[in-house]
Amino acid sequence: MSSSANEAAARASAVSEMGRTIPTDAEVPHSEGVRWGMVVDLDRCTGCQACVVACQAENNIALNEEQRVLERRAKTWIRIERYWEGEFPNAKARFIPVLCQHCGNAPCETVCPVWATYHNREGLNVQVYNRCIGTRFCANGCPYSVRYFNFWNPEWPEPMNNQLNPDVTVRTKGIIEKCTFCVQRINRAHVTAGTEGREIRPGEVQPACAQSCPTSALVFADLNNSESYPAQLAEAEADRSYTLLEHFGTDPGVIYLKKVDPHAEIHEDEHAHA
Amino acid sequence: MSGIARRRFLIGSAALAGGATVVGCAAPERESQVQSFVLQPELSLPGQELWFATTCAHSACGNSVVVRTIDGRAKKVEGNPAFPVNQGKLNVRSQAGVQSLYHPDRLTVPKRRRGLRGANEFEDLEWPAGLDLLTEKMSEARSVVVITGPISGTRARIARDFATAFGGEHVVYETLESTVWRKTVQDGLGARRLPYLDIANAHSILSFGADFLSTWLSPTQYGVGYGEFRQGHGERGRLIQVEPRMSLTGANADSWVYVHPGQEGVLALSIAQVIAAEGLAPPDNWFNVVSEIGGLDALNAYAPDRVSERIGVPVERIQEIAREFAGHQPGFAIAGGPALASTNGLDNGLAAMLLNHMVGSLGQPGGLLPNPELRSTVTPPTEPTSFADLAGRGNTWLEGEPPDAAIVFEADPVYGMPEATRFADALGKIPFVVGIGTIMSETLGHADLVLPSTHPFEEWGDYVPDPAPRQHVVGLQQPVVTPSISGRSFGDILLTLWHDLRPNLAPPWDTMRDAVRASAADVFRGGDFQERWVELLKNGGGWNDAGAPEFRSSLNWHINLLAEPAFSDNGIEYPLHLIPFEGVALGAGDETANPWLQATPDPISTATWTTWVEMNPATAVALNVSRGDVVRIETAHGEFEAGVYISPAAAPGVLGVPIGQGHMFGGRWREDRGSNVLASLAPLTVAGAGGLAWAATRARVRPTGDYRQLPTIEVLPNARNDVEEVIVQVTNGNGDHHK
Repeated sequence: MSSSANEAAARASAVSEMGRTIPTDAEVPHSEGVRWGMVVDLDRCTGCQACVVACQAENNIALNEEQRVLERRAKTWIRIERYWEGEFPNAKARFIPVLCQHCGNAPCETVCPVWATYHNREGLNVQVYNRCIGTRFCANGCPYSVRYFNFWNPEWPEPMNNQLNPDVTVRTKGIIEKCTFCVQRINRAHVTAGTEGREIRPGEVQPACAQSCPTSALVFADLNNSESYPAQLAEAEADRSYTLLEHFGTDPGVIYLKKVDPHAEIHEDEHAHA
Repeated sequence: MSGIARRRFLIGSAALAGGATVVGCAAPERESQVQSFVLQPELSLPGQELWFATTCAHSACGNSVVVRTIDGRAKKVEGNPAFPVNQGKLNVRSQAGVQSLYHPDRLTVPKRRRGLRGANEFEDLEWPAGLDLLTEKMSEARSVVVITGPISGTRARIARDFATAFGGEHVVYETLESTVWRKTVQDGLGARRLPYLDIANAHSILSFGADFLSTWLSPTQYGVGYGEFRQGHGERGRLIQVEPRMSLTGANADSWVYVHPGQEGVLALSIAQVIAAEGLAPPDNWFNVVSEIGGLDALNAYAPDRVSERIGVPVERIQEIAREFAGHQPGFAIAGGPALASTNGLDNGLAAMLLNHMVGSLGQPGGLLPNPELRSTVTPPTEPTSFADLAGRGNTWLEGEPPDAAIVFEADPVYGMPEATRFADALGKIPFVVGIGTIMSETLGHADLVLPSTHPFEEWGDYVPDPAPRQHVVGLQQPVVTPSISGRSFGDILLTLWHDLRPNLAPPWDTMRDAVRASAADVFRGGDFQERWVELLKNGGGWNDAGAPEFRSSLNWHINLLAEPAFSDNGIEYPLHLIPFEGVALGAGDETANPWLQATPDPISTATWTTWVEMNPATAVALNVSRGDVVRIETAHGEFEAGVYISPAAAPGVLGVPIGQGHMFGGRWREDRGSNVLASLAPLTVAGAGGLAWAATRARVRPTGDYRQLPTIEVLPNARNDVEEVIVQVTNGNGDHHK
């Protein structure tokens, strides 16, 4: 980082320290209320990309034309990362869906000079588009690279604009966007439940990615509700569960269950002999 | 609003607020065609969402969807939770349905050819003029061939009966056809309908090249089962995938096994030999079956040590597969992809089917299960016309006996048939070709008259999933939005022609809606049909349990029939194996107009928007090429260019190339992009089944000296060199910041 950028970051940090008016993770312990989260079972995930397109359809994500991909500026709020292990004939591909981890201790939140990103009362890492001034500090601070900057205004040639979801803001040039856990669906469920005088039922809200996933590898729910399926799943599969880049202490709201490899020991032995 | 128009609007708003308001409020002309703000659709209130169940009837996926509409516009496609095939889940292609509905390059008016066929020179017509031309030409035709993609239900019945009434035939074109698997099922199980794969309850799956998690037959249905297979019951299922090129299913396998192309059947028999020799399955299961197809002596000729070198699989590996598969039952073996696309593909499939007989899981939970026969009132899914059959018809047309007219709908044989078949020339011999579709394709580009069809979300239809989920299922398709163009559905066009020109042979319905409703009334009888009809539409169709005929306990085959695979070349001039493959998003090329799908990364390479060739690192070194180098891939029947993707999973000597790109027609996101690997394939067929042996072509590679950065999502350590220059260009020299 250049010295001027360092100074800017320092100033931004000072401002946020002095002028904090918005509830943050420290002030609203999510352990006492709802904490929306997700369990990703990598043993079920096939890398089929259904979640990726479902997310783009739901959230008005700009078209990732070839030039954007070449520039590494394609926006995919959820992406499937593919890692190679070994070489032919023992090469293995590993797929990991990566989305905003909605961290309890989110590094992106503390660096935003204008509180465009903050932690809400339900554990969501929220991006307020009309506050964002595009410093991109949050994207630099995110160890998961799941924050995307709009270098251009999005364009949907007519009549493709008809497909846009009216519940989701179209983001303009100069601001950051990211996975919201389909907050518009959560809000809608709150309204529905509120009108009916009840709490949101388990399974009532599904983000687009989890809804489409053919193998049910993505499961969404309130992690603080011990009766929710994901909470039970994470507990039952404790030996397979982990969070991404755990050592950063970000307290992610996305829990991964590792893929089972019945031949892992055999191949590790082979590698050891090699 | 275009980028320029939007900038003009912003400038205007700064200078003259009143004027800007006028501009801002004016609805574009196209917008008001989509749905009038004044005349809202029935039931619709401003801002209120409505959900409609319908079916992706134009694709073979068999999924039922619910479409969220607001103010008469389709917004989002979700899986239909009630439908037994996809159970609320969806694959990539079904998700992208709204984008093809509102595609800016969609056909909107009829077009008449002005230039040479294939020259893409057309003039626009009004619908009445288009229909007049169609009626005039068809009234002169004494024989009409109707060429469609794989369709079913009422639409298929109308296509078939229409073709018969007009002295012709209905030809079903499927780019990578399921012909060979269907024949395998008939000869191996004695079944007329494709079996149900009980993936959810299986403890092991042995797949010879069937990419069932990506594109093979019914991937969403299989995906739902796969989740349960892995983590849904006490014993985690084990997946063994055998193939020459790692597919998405192979990438998810517990054991991925490379086998030389075309040798899958030998490997299957070798596994069978181990099962018999080591007693891994009770002899009661297999002794009779094996005896009928040649006996143990014939099987012993395939002992691992006798075939290992020939097929490229170590002896121990063959034994491991046999023990893992037979030792974790129930389970099943299937074959697809390159295993069935070799010249001996049918034998490979039947050798795999032998394993199902041996382990005794046929008809058992966790194995292959029979699907019910269709009721007589339901038109079965039309079986694809084999490649050999279609190529033979093309030759007949070339030799001077073409039909008088052809009607083509949602099929693109000019793109998919190898150039060596000269299918475009054959089509050119037909005096009058009508193309019906939502977007231009290579085949429509060769038509004399192109008629814009309604989108699946704008029309009536029904669909019979194949393979079925062990039930009688008919999916219903209804218009979920008012058509945004003046299109007509394929079925309605045929019905109009039929009533006009052959009224005495015409069916009793005037429209597709009437036809679909009558068919549903016939299938789902009892009670007040109007009530039932509404219920059927609400549910996205109807389904009920039904008994199914048992599988036959023997194979219609003999071990001695297993032939060596033949290739397009002896391997000296063209030393490499060319294995084309369908991508999870683009499939066989019919979805490449869709930018969501173009931008969806291939799961293996993470590449988008282009044609690449997967190459083993050692092969790349031998050819002196590296990632991003553009190479020319030559076969004895053509050549094309692709960017090199070096894959650690690629086998030495095998080139994996995605199908789908290389179109000259189809709009801004499809045209002039990448290469069409299918065009350069040898026109070899699968013996006994007639399918295209698309994995039987050999090739050689020549570097072109060019380099193009591969548009991949994965980032390599040296990737920054690729993007630095582009970063500088974020602000161009014209003061037009960020474009």
